[in-house]
Amino acid sequence: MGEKHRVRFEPVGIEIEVDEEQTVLRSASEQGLMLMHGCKEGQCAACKSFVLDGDDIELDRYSTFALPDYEKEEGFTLLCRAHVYEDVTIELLNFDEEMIRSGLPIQNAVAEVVAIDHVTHDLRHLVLELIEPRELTFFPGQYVDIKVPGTEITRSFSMAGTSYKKLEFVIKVYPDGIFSSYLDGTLKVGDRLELTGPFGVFTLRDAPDRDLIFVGGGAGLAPILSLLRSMAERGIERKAVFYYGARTAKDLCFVAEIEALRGKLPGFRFVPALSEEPEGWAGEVGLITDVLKTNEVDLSRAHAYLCGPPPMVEAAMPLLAQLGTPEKHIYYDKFTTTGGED
Amino acid sequence: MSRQSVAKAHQKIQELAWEPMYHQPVSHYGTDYTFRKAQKKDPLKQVLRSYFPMQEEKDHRVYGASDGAIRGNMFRQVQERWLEWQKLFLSIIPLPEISAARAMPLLFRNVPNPELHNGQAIQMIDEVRHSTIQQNLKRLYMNNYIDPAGFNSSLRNFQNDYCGTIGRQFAEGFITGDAITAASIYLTIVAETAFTNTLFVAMPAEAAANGDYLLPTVFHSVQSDESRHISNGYATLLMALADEGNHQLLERDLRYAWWNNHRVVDAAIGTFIEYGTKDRRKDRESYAEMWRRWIYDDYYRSYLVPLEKYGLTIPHDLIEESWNQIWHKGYVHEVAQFFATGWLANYWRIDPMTDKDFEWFEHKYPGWYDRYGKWWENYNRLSTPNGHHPIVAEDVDYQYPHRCWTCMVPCLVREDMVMAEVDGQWRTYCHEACRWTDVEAFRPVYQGRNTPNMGQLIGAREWETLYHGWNWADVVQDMGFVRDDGKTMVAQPHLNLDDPKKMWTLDHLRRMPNLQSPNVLLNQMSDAERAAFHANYIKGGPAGRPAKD
Repeated sequence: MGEKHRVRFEPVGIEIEVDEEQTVLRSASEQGLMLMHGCKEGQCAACKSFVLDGDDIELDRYSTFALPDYEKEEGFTLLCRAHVYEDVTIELLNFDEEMIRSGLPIQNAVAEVVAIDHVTHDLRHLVLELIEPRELTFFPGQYVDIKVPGTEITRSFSMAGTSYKKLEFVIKVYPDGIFSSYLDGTLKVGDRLELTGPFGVFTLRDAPDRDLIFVGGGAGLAPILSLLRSMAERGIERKAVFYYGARTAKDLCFVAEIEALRGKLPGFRFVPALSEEPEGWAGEVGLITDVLKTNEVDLSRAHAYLCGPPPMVEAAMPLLAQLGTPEKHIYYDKFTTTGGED
Repeated sequence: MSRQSVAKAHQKIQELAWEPMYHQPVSHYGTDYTFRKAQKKDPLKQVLRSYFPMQEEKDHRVYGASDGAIRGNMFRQVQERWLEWQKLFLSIIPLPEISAARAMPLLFRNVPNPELHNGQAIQMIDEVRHSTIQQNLKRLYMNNYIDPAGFNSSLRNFQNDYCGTIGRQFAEGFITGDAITAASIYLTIVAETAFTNTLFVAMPAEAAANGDYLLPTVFHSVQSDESRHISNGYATLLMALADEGNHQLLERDLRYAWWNNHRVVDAAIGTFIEYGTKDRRKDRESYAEMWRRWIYDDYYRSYLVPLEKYGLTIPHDLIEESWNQIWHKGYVHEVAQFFATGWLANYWRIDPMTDKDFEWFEHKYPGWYDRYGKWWENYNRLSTPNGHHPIVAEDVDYQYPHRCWTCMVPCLVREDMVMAEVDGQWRTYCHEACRWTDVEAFRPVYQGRNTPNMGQLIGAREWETLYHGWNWADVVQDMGFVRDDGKTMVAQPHLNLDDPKKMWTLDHLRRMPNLQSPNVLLNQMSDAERAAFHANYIKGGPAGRPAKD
């Protein structure tokens, strides 16, 4: 293999590393990015893109109908033929944002329960170790469907961690819920569960010059925790605030770990808030959306990620828009908001 | 050389399938799909201001290559085996292009998204351009190649030829049935996104390997427009996916479109590439290898499978079965053998296979010789007139097949043939998936749901039935595949033009037994005879061998 260089895709804000010996398209596909393409032979022009920054790009043999010289000189390139020899920024001309991250293979897997911890009175921290296959690759923020044993019913849960070998979940139990009853009643360490995934597009868009606002509540914590942990692992220094809403102090979990993330994420602020019984509580008080409103003035340069109960997400969307966050940069997970409820 | 009159030339343009001779077109295309939700953006934002200069530049390159080919006398140096098959290919391909142009207005009225209409309008112009440069290519071949016969009549041939009907099905697919089924799923999602790779990328590579560098120029020019068509299809598909009520129809249409494209494109392009080439370098990819790489590994895995995230079930079983047909059941070889069996009903010459060809086939498809070798040796033996009939009327251990009503390729993989009585007629199908297409998918009710826009597969669909009971000489004369002397046939089962004694004429055909349509005979049988016949037919093969009792 040759040297690796960073390729950044705009306007979607995704960065990957590409080996000199691989084409950009091939490398993106191996890393789970589904870029528009057709023939992969430099002839159909479906992968034609525009080089915003960087010059040292060599192309394998291609058709000059797909990329005439004058276009090449203007900065167009064919991703299926392009090898990069320096860091480059490429503008995608033809893409669908929802599909671009759908390139990871969906797998059916069997996993074994290694821990079920009560992290609050109604939230469980479930850890599953993959047995077959041994790994399940996902983007932080994505979810899997877990089958309720003995039934055909599945429930969707977002991963809270970043390991491909041990999947972590934060699951809310509801009285009489199908999965809840199973989780609190029958399921024990050593049991096996069938799951399918990954799914979902609640994934971090790379945009180094944009601030990050996370708003979460209840089990909506899980994908945000996964995103934060992965940012810490990758050393991402973007300014980020996590507004974490709960009813009472006993509804909060993972607080110590999130607080500690500040050591690894220099631009990170954590704002937990309670809406009820705030006696002896030194932090913020009120609905998380109200807390967000009092704390922020201008979010026009921010990307927002929302995950939690539907009323919270619905209240946060117009508020963020009011604060200036562009609608297209408000990301939320449709599945987690509904699929988490049994 | 006599000049053709302007009036005649104008008449010929009208034969461009605007008014098909083989069925009554419908006057209105609707859809059973709904588009209530997501509005997708047109990702390419092509405007005419930049479109025409771009296409002009591409056309200049094509003209430059045409001049170069004439100056370099390419037409006399190209492999004849290859160029003969172009008589078939170039009679077919402009018609799908015209059909694709006609398909775009179906989307204007059925996809309520003005943002996408611009892309569709530009695709319509693309398709007309493609048809034009392809017909110009055909004209150059005709004017400069050693044997123009067959290039000069191909618009007409397309409609009633023994092989051309298969290409007709491809063109019809773009404008048959529900507007979304035809113009979006069949045309842009399956044909253009998946199968144009074998059509417009693999074919040109093979042409170049056979000394034809003009066809690659024309077809690369065509292929470079596919990006727009692929994104048109994708945007419409994502819009359709957003309405869950469409999923049942999408699943139906992906099954139909996938299978029909496989049946038609793999039959034709597989044959051109594997039996039309003289390049037998063993490191060149076989059609099966290319199919695996482009269609299975890439299109299936990276384009279709991710759609399952939207809750759609894609036809895994049919994709696996298509591969099974190509790799284990010899689909392309069975088709090539059939095309050569009826060489006399064609308008091009089919070169016999040599030992070098045999060796390549055996290398790429182990077991090929045991299946097909003997038959091709017989083809070679019977290729020049010597008191015997053309191979179709000789005993060469080959049972003439029935036509498939749906894809119009015959039922060549014998074990897969199924029958059904539809609208009072017994029809044969090459595979259960083709039966399902005709009997279940193209019906006004699908799985209990009203689908009034789907239409039905109608018209003259069995070539043999058109000529049932005719003398072969009359068949060939009726089709017009006779050379200027009024008796020598355009088609020949060899490439030797120099010795008149080696050329087959209508006189040779007069001595043959009359043509019998197996499909007509099937309808004349009693139920018991028909059941027995079917039980026997499916025991036949491979290579068309009758069942051994």
